[in-house]
Amino acid sequence: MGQKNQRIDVLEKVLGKAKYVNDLKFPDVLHGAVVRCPHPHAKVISIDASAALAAEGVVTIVSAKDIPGIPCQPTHKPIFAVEPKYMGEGVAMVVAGTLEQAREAVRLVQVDYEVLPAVTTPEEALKPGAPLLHPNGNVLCHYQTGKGDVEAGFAEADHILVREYDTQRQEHMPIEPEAVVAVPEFQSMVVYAPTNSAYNVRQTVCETLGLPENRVSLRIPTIGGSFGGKNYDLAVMSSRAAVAATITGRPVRLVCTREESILEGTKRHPYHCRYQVGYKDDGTLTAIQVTILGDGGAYTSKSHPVATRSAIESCGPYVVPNAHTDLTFAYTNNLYSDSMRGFGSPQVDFSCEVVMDEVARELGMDPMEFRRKNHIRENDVSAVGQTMTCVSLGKCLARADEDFHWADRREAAKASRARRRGLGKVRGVGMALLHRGEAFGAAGQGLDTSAVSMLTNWDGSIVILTSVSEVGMGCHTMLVNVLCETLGVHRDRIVVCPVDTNYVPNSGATVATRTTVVVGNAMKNAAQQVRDKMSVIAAKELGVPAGRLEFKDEKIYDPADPEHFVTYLHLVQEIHAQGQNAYGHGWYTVTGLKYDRANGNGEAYQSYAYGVCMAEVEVDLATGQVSVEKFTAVHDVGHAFDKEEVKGQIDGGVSMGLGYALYEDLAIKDGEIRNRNFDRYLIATAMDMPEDLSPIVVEEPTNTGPYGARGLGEPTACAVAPAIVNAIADATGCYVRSLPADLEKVLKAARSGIEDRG
Amino acid sequence: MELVKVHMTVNGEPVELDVKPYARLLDVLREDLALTGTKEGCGVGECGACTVLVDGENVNSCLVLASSMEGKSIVTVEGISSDESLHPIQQAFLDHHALQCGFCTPGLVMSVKALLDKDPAPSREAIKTAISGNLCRCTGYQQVIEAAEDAARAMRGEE
Amino acid sequence: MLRYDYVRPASVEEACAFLLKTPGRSCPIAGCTDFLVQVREKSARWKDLQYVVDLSALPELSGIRVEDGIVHVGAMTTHSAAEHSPVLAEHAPLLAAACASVGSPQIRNRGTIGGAVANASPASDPMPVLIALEANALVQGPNGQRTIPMSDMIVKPGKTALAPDEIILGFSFPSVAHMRTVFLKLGRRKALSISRMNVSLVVHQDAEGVIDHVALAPGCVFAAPDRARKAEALLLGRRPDAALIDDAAKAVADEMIERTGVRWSTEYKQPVITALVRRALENGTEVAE
Repeated sequence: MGQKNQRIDVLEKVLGKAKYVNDLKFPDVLHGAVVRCPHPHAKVISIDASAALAAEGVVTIVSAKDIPGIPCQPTHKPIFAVEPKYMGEGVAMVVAGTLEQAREAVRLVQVDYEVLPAVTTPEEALKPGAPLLHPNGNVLCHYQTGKGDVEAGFAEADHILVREYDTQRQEHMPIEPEAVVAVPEFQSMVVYAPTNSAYNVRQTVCETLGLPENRVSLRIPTIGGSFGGKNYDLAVMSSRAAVAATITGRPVRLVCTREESILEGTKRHPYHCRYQVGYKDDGTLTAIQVTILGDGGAYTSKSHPVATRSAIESCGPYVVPNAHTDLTFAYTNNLYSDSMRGFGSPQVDFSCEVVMDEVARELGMDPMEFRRKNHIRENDVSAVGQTMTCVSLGKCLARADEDFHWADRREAAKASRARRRGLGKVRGVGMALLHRGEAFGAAGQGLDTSAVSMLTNWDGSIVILTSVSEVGMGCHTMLVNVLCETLGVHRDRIVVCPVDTNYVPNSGATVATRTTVVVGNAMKNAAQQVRDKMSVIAAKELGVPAGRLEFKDEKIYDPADPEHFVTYLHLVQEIHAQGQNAYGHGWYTVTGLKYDRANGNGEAYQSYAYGVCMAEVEVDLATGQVSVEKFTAVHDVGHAFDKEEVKGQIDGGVSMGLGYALYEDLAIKDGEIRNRNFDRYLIATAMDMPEDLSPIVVEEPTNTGPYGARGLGEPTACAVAPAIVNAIADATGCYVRSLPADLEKVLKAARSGIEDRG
Repeated sequence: MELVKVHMTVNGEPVELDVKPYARLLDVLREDLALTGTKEGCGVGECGACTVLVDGENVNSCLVLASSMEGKSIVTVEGISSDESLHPIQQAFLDHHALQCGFCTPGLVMSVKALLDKDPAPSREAIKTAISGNLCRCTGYQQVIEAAEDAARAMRGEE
Repeated sequence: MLRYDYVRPASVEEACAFLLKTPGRSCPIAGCTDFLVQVREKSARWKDLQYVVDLSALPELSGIRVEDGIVHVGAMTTHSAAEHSPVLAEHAPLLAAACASVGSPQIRNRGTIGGAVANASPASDPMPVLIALEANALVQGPNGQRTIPMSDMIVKPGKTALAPDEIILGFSFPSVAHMRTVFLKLGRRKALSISRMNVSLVVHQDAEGVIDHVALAPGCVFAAPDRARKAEALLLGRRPDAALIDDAAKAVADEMIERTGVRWSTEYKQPVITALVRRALENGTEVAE
């Protein structure tokens, strides 16, 4: 069944046989349901569980006092809150025989709260006298990056443009809502959690239970999408279930309804950005000053690395001699912000690419011409002082233009506007460039390291051991491909071991577009070890130097004499026969980056991904309705292990970016979320996607990724919104400076555009 | 609450069940019949992950009372392939890389099946409409549409 | 979770009798596409619910037919059935269009027109169409049948003119095969979208081009779906031209503000309903040059 070279995980998925966490059955399982705080800020005075405990089927109620270990790290979200800091935060959990009984009994738990003053905007949070969320104040973090002297740069400028932009709170919305099962075993705990970060979740569970890390096995079933969301949220849920499993001695399942997932789970940080751009009459940039205020919500989580990434990338892939970015995240009584596909890039990509478009318009320059003039090229110095190498923007732009025919479409769109009579439909085109640092980078957190092992069996079959999560984008297949390219074996020999933290080494989390580069390299190193061992034997048997050997199609030979070969299977069995170790353990660390954290200057990332997006939209000037008619998304992946998979990733990024541009907005007022399900939180349907969508793969190898590969997952979603919004501005004559560009905002833009243009 | 006796055909097999009067078809399929290929993503009929066929029409099984299924024929993703072979739609999904995380896939497959059973040569627009009630956060739908076009050709006996 | 018992009556009479016996505690159900969502959200509407009465299998409530120029649509007609009905395509294409725009294929395959009306959703798509068609609902209660004009069906948002023990059997309206009809819907995305606003128009011009019949029902504009009588009055007896269409379109917006006041949404809705009505009239009438 299936076919050769398909992804290793898709056959069981298409048959409906893949087991997601909620498909796993456990005997004697109990069900949890979370008791949630109805206030944005409060103190739990008491919890009266008596009525709930008396209800049918209820076994126990757990809360903060039942945690054997620690409730959380300082300023992070606690497993059960005693001072809940946002509406919907969990304070206790009912455990019952059935899900229905558990959910019923939640209403019977009487929690007495002291309501505390709340602050729900970052602006208010930073004012003197604002209610404090954490002892050290409401500044979650503050970072500055840049180079040169912006004052001097502005003095040199012929023009200065100042613009402000707002981006919204976006929800991950994987189609699978979060769920976990904790199964107690003798002196240990097994947790099944669909997380992108097995080791991190295990660490939290261990801290909660007060157990050493080898007493908790974190197992990952099939994951129904993550997009950065199945991270600390899963750590909290896993810990809750594990506490209850410890107390009851029975497996405990905890499942989020979609509403609960939205209510308590992390979101993308909303930003308010101010851009001041100095430029000359000929379009040369002289200075960019960026000020960003982000809403971190109630807890720290991964705000620091999100913040540094935003600051570093905030001036875009442009040559500018003087740049300065000042970024602050504030704590508020909103649900906490965290990693989400793009991880701090989409907010600044939107703001920067729109302001660049606005500058071009002020100059009367074609936005393409403006970008061609200013984008970074090989060995140019970035806005944080990094000398950029393997820069492929020029090639990406050329490929995009080849497909999109920018000048022709721009002219045709202009003609559509000239033809307009009354409030009809008009067209516009827009574009955006993208550069994005790969992996964690030097500014945000500690070392980015990864381990991957491989076991080679007597029969030649291979098991890959990695903790990296297959969240749906095909990363396990990518590892298989790396192994195949290194050892020249057929892929049907390989399986990837299901993730269990007690069996597989720490490969790090599936985040930060690091998997291909960092984990891929660790895989390559593991395979290389096996290859080296085989080379020694093969060289001896074939009588050629080991360095000359090629591993291809399960044969090992000197390319000068391909008929004279030994087989892969023979070498495996020979290694075993000689009592040698045929295992590989690969390790990869991103090292050697020189970055000055205090001044935000230096080698921020070891490598970058590049891309270009172009959009043509049709705007109904009477209603504000936008239809994206044509979209070209070009991404340099360095080396595509599977081009069709890459295209699927790009398409998916376009759909998420299109939602970010036009529909998605978590409506939150005074800490309360209004749209708690797919009926009111709108993501793109098949009908909303551009009829003409071109995902284009560029392969300009880097000197860092395995076989020159670059990461792809996040970049695909980053430059979509600015391309669409710039196209709307071309159509209407007016920029929408706050996302999403919904009916109301686009209509307003259209009306003021009509006033301007007549 | 009085249990309701329901006779239905599930994936071609007659089934007689006593169901809770308020149980959703989704719960009965997943819990009582262990057909966990049908997924729940929203519970309000928006995401389409729970799509199954009832008398040949695709429906959200989260918005169907199991008790109302008397005499109905239900087909889930488990019911369209045999042990030996994939349904042409499933094969086309694999051929066109039309799935990533796979959680929405069973629902999408069933919606495409409902379409192709009625309309063996659908337009691209008809395919988009047919899957407009199936949300996918991974693929951007393009490869799903291509898979549906390809499956239609295969089911018509072309190529 | 709301728990309730399930009742499957063998006839409409049996259903009505059960409803009469259990006042305020029973809910007739059809496709359940709205009901199960409301139950999930623990709508206050169902706090006393003990029984659901399943009408979906009653044969007398289904079918679409035309007799003596009158179209009859059974209450249990699904949106899909209406969308694909050759009878409606000929005699009331705007009803088919409105049903085709509801939710998703899955929702349309289950949800019924009777259910949508009984639910009195303010954003219902078929509702304003039925009003523009001057349809009557045929209703059965314990004391027999009566008709309710669709323009009187919605008393207030979420509340119909039905008594708790009454059941909608179906809808009837004169064929508009000889008239021009338009249904326009504006949603926030292209599918799976409730109406931000919609417009239903049934119009006829005589040989001279004078409008001798017009029914214009904007949706999501008034508190409950209704005809825009002021605009209709402007149009009736006139030969449409750009100025008249403009006046009529503005009259709908004016009537909206008159009836609902100025709200946060008015800034958007006022120009847009004007534009939508203008489009409907431009599409639906022969305009004098």
